[in-house]
Amino acid sequence: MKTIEKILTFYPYEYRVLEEYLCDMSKKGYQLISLKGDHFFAIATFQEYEGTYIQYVCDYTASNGFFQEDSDETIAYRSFIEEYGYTYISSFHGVLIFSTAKPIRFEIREYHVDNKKQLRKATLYHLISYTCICFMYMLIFHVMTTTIGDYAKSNISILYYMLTRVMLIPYLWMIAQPLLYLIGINFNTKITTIHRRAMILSSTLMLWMFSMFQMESSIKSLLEMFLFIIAGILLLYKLWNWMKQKAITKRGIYFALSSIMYVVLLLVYVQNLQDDSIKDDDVPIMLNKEDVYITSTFLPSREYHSSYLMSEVDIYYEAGQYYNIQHVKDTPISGYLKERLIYNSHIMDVEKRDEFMIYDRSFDVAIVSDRDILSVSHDTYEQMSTQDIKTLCKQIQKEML
Amino acid sequence: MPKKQLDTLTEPMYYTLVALLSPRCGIEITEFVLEITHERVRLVPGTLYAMLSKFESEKMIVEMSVDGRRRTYQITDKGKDMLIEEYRRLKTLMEEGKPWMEELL
Repeated sequence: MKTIEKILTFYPYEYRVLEEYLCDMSKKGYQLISLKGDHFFAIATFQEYEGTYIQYVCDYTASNGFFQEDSDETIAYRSFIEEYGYTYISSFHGVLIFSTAKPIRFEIREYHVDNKKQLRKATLYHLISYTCICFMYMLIFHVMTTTIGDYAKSNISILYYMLTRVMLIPYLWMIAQPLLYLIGINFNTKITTIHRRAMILSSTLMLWMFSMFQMESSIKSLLEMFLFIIAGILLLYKLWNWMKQKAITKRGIYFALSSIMYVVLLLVYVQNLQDDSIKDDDVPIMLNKEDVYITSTFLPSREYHSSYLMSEVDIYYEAGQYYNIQHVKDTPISGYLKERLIYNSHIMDVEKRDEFMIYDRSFDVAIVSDRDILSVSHDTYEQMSTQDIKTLCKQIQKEML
Repeated sequence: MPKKQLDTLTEPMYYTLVALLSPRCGIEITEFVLEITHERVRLVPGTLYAMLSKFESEKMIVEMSVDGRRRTYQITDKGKDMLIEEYRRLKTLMEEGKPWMEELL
């Protein structure tokens, strides 16, 4: 028996269109086996059949909540409908699909009499779940881009890029029509629409993938990112199967998994914003981007020469060829220091331009050499003599070597 | 916001409660109502399910048994009181309007 798969994208208020489509397929000799999918697409699997014509009837329910798994209420409703001679096939975001090979004695609902309140609620739930999933993907993407490779240096611009071009366009495109429906503007959707919509969405996602290659990145970091995604999906899939075997209700699993993911992602996200971590083997110790200051406020008391004091950021840009920066241009630290100068910092040459002092806002002091950064507390720093600092820097250098 | 209590019964509600004077499942209710109204009132499952859920939450009916996918319901004392009250109301309407309405028929 020939089996074919079709990709569809539809909303609960379009259930009659779906019904019409399924009946059309049935007339062509294809019966629906299953309708599965995520929040973006529904994949309908059809199988060739011969014999009595199978009629499909679609219905809707608003008792499913935000996510796809059928609630107890929905399962009870399904059973109730089955009493009337219908066979339940599948459900997708509040749309229930039944079939019957016998002539229908009782329609599920009076034709053209929709429970608009329920239909709007189901559509709203679909929108909310779609929004959650879209933003979760965006968050995952953002976390990955800020933690992997070169992306770390410009996370703010990447977030902007991602929001404006990567996910937001397909997202806005997808929510436009149901939003209009919710405010009372309804289009006469046709069968072709639910096909075309899937095609447009797939091409937009392709564009999304393509646009990722346009970003400043190396093949290596892209590969890392894809491996990260695949590993994550496999892990979740395994976890999902394992938990299903343990007979925990699906809804509970979904809720628990989503909660854990949200919490973890948020923590990582916040951590990233605070740390602005750079995963570079040559820079093992990190500093907080907001807190980095190289200042002269106490350095003169340590008998450092203020003539090497670096100017503020605007002057830095004007005098971009400043000697101190030039001097450390090719070291791993230099790029980092250049980045940090954006945050209104000063830089000071300490001793023969081999080490740099960084003084941060939380009164912790970092001693920066051209090889490494070491954080010490302000109190410790105050007790250290200039000679101690130099010794420490040299010690770091030796350890690094 | 608390749910609004049922004040009066609609026609489908009235017949559903009459049907549930004896234990019946969904399709039996539909068939019973179709029979006593001479196919005038047709309770489709989508509407009936919502109605039964409403009655159940109001404790006007109770689920008696579950046999496979069939759930059987029966009216409770509270439901009976509501039904009797509705019946009396309809009867009063009839009687009070009778002197004038009979002439029109």
